[in-house]
Amino acid sequence: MSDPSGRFVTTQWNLVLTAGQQGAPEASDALAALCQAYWHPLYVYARRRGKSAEDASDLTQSFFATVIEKSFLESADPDRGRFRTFLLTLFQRFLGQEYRREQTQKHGGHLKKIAFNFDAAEQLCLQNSADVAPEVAFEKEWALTLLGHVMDRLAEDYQQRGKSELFQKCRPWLNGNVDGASEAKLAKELGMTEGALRVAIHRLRERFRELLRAEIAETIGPDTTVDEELAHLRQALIG
Amino acid sequence: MNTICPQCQQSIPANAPGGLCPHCLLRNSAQGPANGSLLNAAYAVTTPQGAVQATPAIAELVQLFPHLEIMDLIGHGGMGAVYKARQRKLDRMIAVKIIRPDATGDPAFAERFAREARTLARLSHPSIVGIHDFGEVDAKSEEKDPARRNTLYYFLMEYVDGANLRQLMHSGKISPELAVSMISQICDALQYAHGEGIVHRDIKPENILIDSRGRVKIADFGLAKLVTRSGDDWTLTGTHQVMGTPRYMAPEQMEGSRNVDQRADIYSLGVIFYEMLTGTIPAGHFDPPSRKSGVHPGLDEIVLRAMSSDPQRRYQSATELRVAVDQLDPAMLHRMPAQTPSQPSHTGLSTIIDREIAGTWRMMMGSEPTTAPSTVSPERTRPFLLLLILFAASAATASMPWIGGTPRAINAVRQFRGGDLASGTGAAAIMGLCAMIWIIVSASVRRNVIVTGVLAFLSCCSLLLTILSWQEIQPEFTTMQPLPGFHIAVILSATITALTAAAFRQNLVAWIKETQETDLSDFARVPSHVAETGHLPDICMTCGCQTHDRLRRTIEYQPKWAESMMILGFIMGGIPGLIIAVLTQKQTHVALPFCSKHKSHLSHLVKVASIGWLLPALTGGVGFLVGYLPTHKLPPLQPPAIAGLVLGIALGLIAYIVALIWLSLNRVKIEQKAEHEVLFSRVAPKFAKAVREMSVKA
Repeated sequence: MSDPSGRFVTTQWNLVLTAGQQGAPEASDALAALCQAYWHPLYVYARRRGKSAEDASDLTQSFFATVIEKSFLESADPDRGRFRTFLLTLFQRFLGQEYRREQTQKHGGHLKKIAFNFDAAEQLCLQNSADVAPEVAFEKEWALTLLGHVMDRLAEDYQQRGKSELFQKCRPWLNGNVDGASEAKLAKELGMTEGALRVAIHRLRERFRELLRAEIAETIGPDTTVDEELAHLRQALIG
Repeated sequence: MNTICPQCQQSIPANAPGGLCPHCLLRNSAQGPANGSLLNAAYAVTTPQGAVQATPAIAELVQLFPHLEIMDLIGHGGMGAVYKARQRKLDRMIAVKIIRPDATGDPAFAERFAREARTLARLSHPSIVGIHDFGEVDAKSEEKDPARRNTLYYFLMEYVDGANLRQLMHSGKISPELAVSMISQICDALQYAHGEGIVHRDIKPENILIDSRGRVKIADFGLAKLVTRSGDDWTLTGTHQVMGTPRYMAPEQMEGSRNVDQRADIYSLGVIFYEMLTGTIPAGHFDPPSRKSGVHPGLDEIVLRAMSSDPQRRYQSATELRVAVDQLDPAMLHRMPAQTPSQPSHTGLSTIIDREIAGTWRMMMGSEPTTAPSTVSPERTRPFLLLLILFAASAATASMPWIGGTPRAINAVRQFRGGDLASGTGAAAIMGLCAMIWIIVSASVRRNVIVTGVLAFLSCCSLLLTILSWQEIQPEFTTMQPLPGFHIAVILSATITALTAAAFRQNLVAWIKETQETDLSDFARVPSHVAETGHLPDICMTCGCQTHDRLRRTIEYQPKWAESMMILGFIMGGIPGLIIAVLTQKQTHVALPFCSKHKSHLSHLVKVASIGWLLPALTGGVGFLVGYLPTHKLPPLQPPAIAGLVLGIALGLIAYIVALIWLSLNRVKIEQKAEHEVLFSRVAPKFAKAVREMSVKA
């Protein structure tokens, strides 16, 4: 589920919304990047809609190929706040039209950029609960995918600064349970004072928060706030 | 299959990032950053073009400080905003603090500012954020009106790459070890600054920075002086908060007293220490840290002493505090499981006479007079006092002439020689047995009280008879030998009587507790440290009106073990009791809320109590003179003189007793002082209610 693409352009969805109408190339690139990041929830949605594993993977791939080639930018309505809802609506429409399509557009050149890992996705589908509505499953997977991206970016961030070990060891504290005893142990292990470790953990949390908010900001429009979307995602996770 | 998150009880999906519970991750991110945390301006505003616009302030600053590379806003508070910047020439990171006085501006501000800055620049300590430079710039604003032109005052300070204490506490409770190590470092810095004559005056977690190496650095030294002079200086742009509730401010500072010295910093540090250990700020009725969060009780003393509302009782210097903290046994600093709160021990109260005698003794010795004497509360009398009373009552009953039959009873005892003593003992035994059976059977405390009371009384009578019979029998014997088994008999009946009396007392206590439980309208129970620090409700204890005044008093009291010894001493003849009373008495200072009207109330009470012993002597002397003067004959004392003397003393005594009664009916009484609690009775109902509410909340 890792995102192979490089750094995101700031506020891609905004870019899509505003420049998409003019058919600017940056906008279509932005859209492509966004799609690449969030194929997994779509796969899950397709499966929940009753498609077989094979069909779902085919559908997902052809959907993205269509998006990238045909570039559904015109449909990107500025009034529609979020990329999430936009993507889902598009996909729903696609699924509805799919049966009419004979051509199984396989693996255009553009699709080589996207690393679909359908096997892993299938495994996860099986493990997670199977008795929720497709839309609910979609939103839940969306939230998890988003969190996964943030975590990856955070890991990358720390690795670039040469602090991978610190990241690995301190990661459990992202959840906010600060246990004094293990903190002291870890501090000794890392050769830091307890105070320094506290600061490091705090830094990690802050950075995570920043990256999370940034990631959310990428996918929302001007009339939604990050907090609103965050609240929605929290709700979505509960299912 | 899916694991359950221990914190939020939701199941963790298989593809949860890093195996962490996503619910918790999102929840923690939903909470906004704590005050003064990293605010990245990049996310503050996003335009539809997707470009990032810096907040106006940064853009403005970039113009005003061409030699600096302004990077980020890293915090803002009541005083100004702090930015991270880089000095180009020196290629080092610094912090720029902007203080923006109100547009109306205080012309003397510039001078004060410069003076303060120079003072602060003298501070050079590894745990104090150093000052590199200071100055003022004219903010080029669009304002046409020259009166509204803004002057920006700024400091260039050492940049601390870390977080402030508020943010760290936000992540969770700080371990005692860490807290102690930080306190130690802070004390070091404070001692240094105090030595330079500089008091911080605004120590709070936001001002305590910890760098990435874990070293503590104190910021904003002495700046409070700059801005408290004119209240306008506090506001920034009005969008962010101004000075918050001064919870870390020492009482003398809050009162606006001129005598604020380095001990005010120590108070603030004490509050912070408490907050680090427990995660909450001490307010009103608060528990000591050991009770609140299970740290070792050894820390309590340090925290509470640092937080005393009387500067005299605090640590007088930062070094003192640091030494106290450094001397703590490291074993104490490891978290201990929450201990069950120890029950407050009740000391027995002396009777009015004891208090009076002891109080008089103290007065004669020259120490401060006690507060109002208290009446005997049956709840807290000792068994043998009760026994004494019972004996006195039985003796009185036995010797009353109209009871009749009593001499005959004694004669009757004489008749049964062998069984005389047995009858008394037997009677007592039967009483005791009846009492025990009744208690087992009966559930009603009230009935128990009555029955055991009667039985105890009767056993006392029996015991007395036993003893008296010896008196009667004695002349019969020429050898003066007691009858066989006499001593055993006496001891037996005494024991039974004592047991019965104890049973009576217990039931009495329970009964009174029962009634008191429901009627607490003028009874207030306050933990000692709250009374000492004055964190009582702002309600006058006498009349119940709102007041922020505090009256400081000294209460004397006896520890539990000394109380019993003292009573024994009194029984043995008075003087030993007095000696014990004087030797073992302890003092405590309390700060009680009284309004200005009633501030002198307590001293009135004390005055009345203390003149008590003087009055009968005076009136006696006057009476004597009145009787003596007309006759001028001495000796022998003429009847008028004697009459005068006796009358005078009697009048004095009556007056005194009347005064005592008046005292006992008046508010307020300090009922008793135990090691951990003070009990006040006859307080204003509003006060009692507020105290109860505080203890419920805590």
